[in-house]
Amino acid sequence: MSQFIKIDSRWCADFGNDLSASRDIAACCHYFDADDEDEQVDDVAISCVNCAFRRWLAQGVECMKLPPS
Amino acid sequence: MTLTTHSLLICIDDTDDIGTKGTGEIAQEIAMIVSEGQLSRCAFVTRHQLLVHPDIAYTSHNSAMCFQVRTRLSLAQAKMLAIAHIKQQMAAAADPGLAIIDLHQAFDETALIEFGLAAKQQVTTKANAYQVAADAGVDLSEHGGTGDGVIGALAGLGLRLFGNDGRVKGQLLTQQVGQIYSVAQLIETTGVDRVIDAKDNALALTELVMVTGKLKAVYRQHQNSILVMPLAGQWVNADKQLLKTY
Repeated sequence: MSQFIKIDSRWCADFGNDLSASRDIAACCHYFDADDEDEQVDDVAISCVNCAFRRWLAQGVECMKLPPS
Repeated sequence: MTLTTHSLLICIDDTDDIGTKGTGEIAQEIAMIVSEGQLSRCAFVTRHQLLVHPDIAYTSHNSAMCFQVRTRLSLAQAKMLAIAHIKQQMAAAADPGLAIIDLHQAFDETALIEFGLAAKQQVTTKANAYQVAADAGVDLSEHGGTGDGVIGALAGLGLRLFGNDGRVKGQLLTQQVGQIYSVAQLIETTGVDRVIDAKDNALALTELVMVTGKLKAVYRQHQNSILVMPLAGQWVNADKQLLKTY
């Protein structure tokens, strides 16, 4: 699930250890805003997993900015 | 004149919301306030990752922030200052918790470590946190919202006491990317205790490390430790994906 899909009205993605999709999506996302540096987990700065608007899940992340529809 | 110095261990959790000032930054500010502007060497903030689970209310990471300060203030005085700052800085939707112990007074270290380690593996309750805190001699308090942050605050305290958990907040700024430093130079210029690999082995002072990006430290064996990893036949500082596991 290396792209965001809607699960129970929430946009979720599980990038696993390969963060290329996380970087590609963030590079095109106008919502991206870097989180506190201590909370970043990808050495490539612009990456969904480094975004202030991602929320970690037991598996993957949830985007808190993508519109509901 | 005799000055009484207290050594306090303070942990906070759930003070922020997405888009607001982070709990780590608030922790650093409290450390500065409580230490009356004279931060001791031990005042670095450690970030402790707790369980991420659908049954747990958390903002975005579920981590707690802990620090030790030496201060002339009593625990009660420090607590009052910490609460005032939390209330001033917390997000509207936050559920802050605050845990404090005086390291010079009696407390049940084993129980606290057990609680902290359990909070990384299983869901627990606020009632349980208060019970453990009362039994273990911890000053635990909540300051708004649901107050569920007391769980993380107590767990973070236990994990800091455990000594083998968490990342140190902030980055070590004095190195140039692409340069090679001896371990002795890194320790001297950053003030960390040591340089370690992922198996917790300390590198010898004469070993060489190439700085490839922002230098970060982890908290292992009760020491502020730069983490390195092997890459192409040499040591380099840990990348963020490796640091994430701490």
